[in-house]
Amino acid sequence: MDIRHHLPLSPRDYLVLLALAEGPRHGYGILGAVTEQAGDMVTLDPANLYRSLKRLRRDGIVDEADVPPDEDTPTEQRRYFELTDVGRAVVAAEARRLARLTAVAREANLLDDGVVAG
Amino acid sequence: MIRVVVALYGLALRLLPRGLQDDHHAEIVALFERTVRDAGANGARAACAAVAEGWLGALRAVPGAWRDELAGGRSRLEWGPRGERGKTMSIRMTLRQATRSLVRSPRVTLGVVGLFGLGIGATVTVLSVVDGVLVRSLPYPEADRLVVVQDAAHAWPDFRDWQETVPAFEVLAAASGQTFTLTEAIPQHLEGARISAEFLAMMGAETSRGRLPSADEYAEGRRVTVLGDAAWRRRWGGDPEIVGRTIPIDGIAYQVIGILDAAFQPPDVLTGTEVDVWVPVDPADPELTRHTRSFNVAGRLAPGVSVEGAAVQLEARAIEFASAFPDLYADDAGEPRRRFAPATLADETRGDARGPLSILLAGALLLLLVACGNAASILLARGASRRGELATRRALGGGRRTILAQLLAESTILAVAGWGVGVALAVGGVELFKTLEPGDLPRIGMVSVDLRVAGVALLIAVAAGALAGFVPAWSGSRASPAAVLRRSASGSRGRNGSGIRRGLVLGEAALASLLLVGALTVVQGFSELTVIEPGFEPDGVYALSIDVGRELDEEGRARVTEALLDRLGAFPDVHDVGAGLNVPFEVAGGNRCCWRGSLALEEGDGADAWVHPVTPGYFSALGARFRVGRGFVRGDEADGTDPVILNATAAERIFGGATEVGQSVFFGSRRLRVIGVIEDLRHWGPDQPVEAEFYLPYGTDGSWASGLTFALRGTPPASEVLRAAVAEAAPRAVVGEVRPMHAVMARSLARYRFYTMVLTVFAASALLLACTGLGGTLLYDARLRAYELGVRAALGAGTGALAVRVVARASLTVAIGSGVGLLAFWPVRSRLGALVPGGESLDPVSLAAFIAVLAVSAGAAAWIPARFVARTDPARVLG
Repeated sequence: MDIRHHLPLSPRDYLVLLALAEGPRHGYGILGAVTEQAGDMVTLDPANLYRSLKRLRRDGIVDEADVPPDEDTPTEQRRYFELTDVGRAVVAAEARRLARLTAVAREANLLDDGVVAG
Repeated sequence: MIRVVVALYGLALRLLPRGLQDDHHAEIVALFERTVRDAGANGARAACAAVAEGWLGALRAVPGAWRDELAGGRSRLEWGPRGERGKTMSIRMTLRQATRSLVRSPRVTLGVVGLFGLGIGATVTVLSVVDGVLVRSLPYPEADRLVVVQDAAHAWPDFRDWQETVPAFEVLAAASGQTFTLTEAIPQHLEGARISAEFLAMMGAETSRGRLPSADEYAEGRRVTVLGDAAWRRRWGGDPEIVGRTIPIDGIAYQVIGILDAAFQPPDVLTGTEVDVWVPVDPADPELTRHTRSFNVAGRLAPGVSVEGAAVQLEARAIEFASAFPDLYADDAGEPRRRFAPATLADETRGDARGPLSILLAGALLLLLVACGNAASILLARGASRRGELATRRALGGGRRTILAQLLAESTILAVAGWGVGVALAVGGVELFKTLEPGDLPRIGMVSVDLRVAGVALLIAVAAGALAGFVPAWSGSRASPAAVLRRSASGSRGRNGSGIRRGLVLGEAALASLLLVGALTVVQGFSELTVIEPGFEPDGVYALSIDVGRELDEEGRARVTEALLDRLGAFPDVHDVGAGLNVPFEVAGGNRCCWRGSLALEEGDGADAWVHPVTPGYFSALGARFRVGRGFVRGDEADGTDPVILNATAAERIFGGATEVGQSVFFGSRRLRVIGVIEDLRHWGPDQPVEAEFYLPYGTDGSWASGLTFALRGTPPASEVLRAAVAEAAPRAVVGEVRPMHAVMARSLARYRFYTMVLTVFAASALLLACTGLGGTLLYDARLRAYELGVRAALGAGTGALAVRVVARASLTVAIGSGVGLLAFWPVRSRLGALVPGGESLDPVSLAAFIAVLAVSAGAAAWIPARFVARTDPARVLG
């Protein structure tokens, strides 16, 4: 399936996938990673997070990971998610697309040097 | 505290789709709790913020999650609210696209809106009438508990008795419609009612000035009256000083104590529609005996009492009366002859309006269905022409449901626009209806198009839009891209749903035929009514109402009447003149007037009949035919024996065989001598059954009545001459208009003429629409097949033959459709009798007319398409 069908990604989906790019995480971990990376530019609440995850799983971008749970994680939280190969390709493609757009913005002098929002 | 918040959050999540809940509900809740606790570490405010964020997020997630669910994994073309993503198009978007598409094809839009407008306009018009006449509750307090004591009119003492002895009613009142004379310099008619003191209060009437009558007016020596608002403005110019003044009614001074509020509508079945003056009855009036039965009695049921309960109590009174007053209330077996059965005022008011109105409503709905059929045909054709566009959209990933939704939205928009047009048309239609209606429908004056009816019509319109639009939308959304692209490559050919369209036209033909045959049988029934033998000779006969005034006593009235007869008969061109309470056909619409009695061979047992006091000359003026004997002459009453004339039915009932002049009958305890038997006069109209009637001389038996109708045979003089002559003989008399007898007869049939006309209009419209639909479909098909026709013509098939085939197709469709229509008509034809008596028989003449009309319609429908086909030029089509 042509990964271009999945583009463009919604900001929320993109950030979730970015969070998973470093490796499998569970819900709490994704939340933490997104907050860390995006700060207060994006709000991600539990309900929308899992909604995104469900959709991404349905589209074959994300999958449930086989990770042995550690002891201090509560039972409900022990489901881990990871990127599939397709997912990895999709998030990379999105990143390239955004980079291209950012380059155009830079050429148009929209960006002050060093100050890129994020 | 946190537990509660989390629990509530968990509840809110239940709004999410099942699948998401099953997969992740617990996780989402756990995550929420953890984030809140984490935030709580930074203070209460942070915790609250986390809670709020979680909550809002959950609410925001719901619509999105459902959208994901329904989109079912379709690929997206582009992000954003536009674009074909299954059901992601909002309703607003769908409507906007539908509107744009409709605006782009203005002819289709206007045509379909016009069709819906016509069908809905007719439906709303009839619905408004049905609502105003049948459905709306009467404008009186607790109207559903108002009840009328039936069996025609009652005597005042009976009414007073019921007031005391029938606890089923919390209040009982009596009223009797009557004409009075305002006895001023120029005497004038006043429509009015004699009422018991509590009547107006019971009906919830209020005064704009002054007060209502109390129970002790007469006890305290006052003669009072209340004026109706319309009469107050018309006759007294809205003079506010009128309250307190006296006015002369029938020669007696009555003090005006109040003016009724303009909003009050008199109950027609109790008092008549127009009441100018309300006159309380003097309870001590010696004329209020048990023998004069002239009051309508109505009351409000006591709380918790049903109509059946009241019926039981009234029946008990009937039995009491039968034993207390046997000659008046019992038959020869001692059983009560008169049953005082209660009926709700609502039922009495509606009377027999339900039958005709339901048929008219059915006619309007059939017309609407035919209009829907035409609309559907047009939409189908339009859908076929948009095949390419719709198929392309689907090829690009457009959801079938989106397209279906848009097509349905288009037909719904058209239907709603048609509703607007229809309601506007109906406003005019209702006014037209009220103008043309001869005044026989109860409460017709208050009929108007109101919000409730418009609301119901909107529902009907939406249903019609769905009905008309569904098949076109379904077939339009099925446009398979491959098939369409293949087709457009090879040139436009193909059927394009012609099977459906043919079915539509067939259905329309059936519906229109149903309406047509119904209209024809009703027309037939009506024309039969107009030629029914009336029992007299109406040519050259004129009717004239004269009220000699109630100030005179009986002797005085008899004398004045004689003087009038002499004066009128003295005119050179008047050959015969006579008078009675009314002339035949004058009392119409199933009503009866005015006096009922019984005749018997032996003293005691009797056969009920209508009693008519008439003057000498009555029968000869009308041209009634005598089987035996003669009419009254002056001096009949003087020779000691009381004469009576019977009609054939009464004679048959009493004497069985041949009746001879001189035989005796008993009228109560009076012995009467039969001096003549006339052929039955259709006194109550051609639609009513013939009843037993007998005639007494006005001088002895009728002069309690001051209002008479004079019948003149010949040519009456000009109006002013006539009035002068009447004024000579009877100075205080009020004279009406001279009416030819044929006009009186036509008036009695007016309601049937009206219903027939309305139904015929519906049928003609439906037929026109069906023809247009058939013609349009044939032409459309011919255009589509132009290529094929061109080939055929080039190969030598005569275009004439092809045109004949078109005509044959049209005829076949009409034939099958009309056959179905006739079949559908058969089981319901008896219902048409409610519209026009005798309107249920399909006789050969109507059938022949039916076939003729259909043949012409088929021909008309096929005319243009056949010409088109016949003129096919192969060179132009193929080249």
